[in-house]
Amino acid sequence: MAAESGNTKMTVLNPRGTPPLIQRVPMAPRNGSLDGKTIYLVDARFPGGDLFHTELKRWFERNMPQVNIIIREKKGSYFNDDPELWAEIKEKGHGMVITIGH
Amino acid sequence: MEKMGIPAVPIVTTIFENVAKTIAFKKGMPNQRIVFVPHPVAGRSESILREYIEGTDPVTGRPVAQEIVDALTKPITGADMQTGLLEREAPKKLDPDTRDNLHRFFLENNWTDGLPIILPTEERVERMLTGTRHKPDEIVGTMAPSSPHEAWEFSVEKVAINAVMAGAKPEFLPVILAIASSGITSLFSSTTSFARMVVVNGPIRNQINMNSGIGAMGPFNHANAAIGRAWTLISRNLGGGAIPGETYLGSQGNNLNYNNVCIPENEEKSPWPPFHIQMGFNPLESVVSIFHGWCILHQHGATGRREKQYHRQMVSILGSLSPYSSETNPAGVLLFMDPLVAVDLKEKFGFDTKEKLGRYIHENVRMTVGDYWEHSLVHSFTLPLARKGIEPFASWLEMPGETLIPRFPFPESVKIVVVGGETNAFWQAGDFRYQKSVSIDQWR
Repeated sequence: MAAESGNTKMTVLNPRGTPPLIQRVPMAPRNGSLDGKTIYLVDARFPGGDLFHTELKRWFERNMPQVNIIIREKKGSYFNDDPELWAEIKEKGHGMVITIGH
Repeated sequence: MEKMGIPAVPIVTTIFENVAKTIAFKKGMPNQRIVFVPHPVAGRSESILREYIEGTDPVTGRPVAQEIVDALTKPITGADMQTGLLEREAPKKLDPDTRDNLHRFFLENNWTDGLPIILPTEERVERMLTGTRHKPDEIVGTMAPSSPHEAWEFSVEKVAINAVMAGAKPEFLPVILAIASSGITSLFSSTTSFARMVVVNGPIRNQINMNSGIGAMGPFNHANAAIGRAWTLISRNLGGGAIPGETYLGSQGNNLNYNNVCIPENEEKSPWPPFHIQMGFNPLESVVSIFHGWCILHQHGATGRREKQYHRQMVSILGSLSPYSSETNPAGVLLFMDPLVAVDLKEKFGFDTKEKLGRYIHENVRMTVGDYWEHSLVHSFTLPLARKGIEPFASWLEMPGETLIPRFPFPESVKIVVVGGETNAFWQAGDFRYQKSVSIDQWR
């Protein structure tokens, strides 16, 4: 096709769809210390996550015993939401650590 | 949790660095504090996991445990508190350039399947749009690589652009629009490397000269090939990415994704009603049906002489397919029957309906419940269903390990399409689970 030959410039349409707007979300404030605080270690149910959390809890017990660590397994698979757990953490916790990945 | 005022720290294995940072950005928290550990965690001993925690973050080089504590305690900055909306530009046209440069540009931006495409000039796209009465700016739907990712929106014109790139003809466009309108990506972002496939039923198969006979599942037909390829390009360009390591995570990838097993059913040679009628559509309606799975196996079919051996072979080969069920995808199988096999199954072995064959497979392809719960994907996806009391999984959880259970929990999860040209009595089977069917006629 002549329009596509040699050094002739041509115009083509963008094949990409429209990404949605991104709503910026402010991070939660931190208050500088974990002393006396409750931190939830949430197992998202990726394979091996249970063992990893056990080891992380042991690290806190050895190195920061003043932190109260609670291990919880998220309901459902790693694709599912668990609003009940998030509500519990908001009510009783001061931070959350969640493991993601195989 | 950050939205709820609770500091949160994801710990991510290093192979997922790009996807973790990309999702944090797209979810509106580009400065999210993420701690990385070596990959993988799965299958590693307690002592190795302890080393991960006491070692350094492979991305930042900082001690992992201290990084976790800092992420939960160090005060946030002004940049961490930003609000408002971010818009990403998507210009309608690309800057003018030469043919060679544009081809390179498309390849380098991951807008193709790695093969040359037809450049989508305005003239070609206009011609493609003659294949539908729908307006170019009409929104077709949204599509995402998987549930954690954002969904992108796209119009009829955007689908037409990708149809041009795939080498489709305007008369293929209604089929491609129907597939796109399903909102189902063919490049599902799972580390397990899923494939997806599409079956076409109804009059449009012959109207656009699709091949359901000899070589139907191979590269021998323009419509089969271009429609399947268009779905891949749509999934890349309209479905939010499919960029390896970021919006596509399949460890090995799946070769079926090149064409997504795009086939029409051989309705004319089938002894059973076509698939779309089973799904409740009118025989004269044209329909796409979409499936989700990993692989396809081949097997020699019914001979009419050795019934017992044939049945044993069928049970044996189907016993290698994945048994896991999730909330939306019960374990299933899709059988691709050559008409020779289908006719034998009906006339010699008494399977006078597809449903009867489905029940037979459900009842005879079995495994021990002990092996079932040991399967890693069953553990991840089906165990939560059992714990929620969903049957039959909840009852299976209570059974002794040696109890035999159906590998495919529901007879209706066994689906059958007839395809092939009768040169040999072969059949194929895939661990493909039915997703949904969409009318093509509404997109003409």
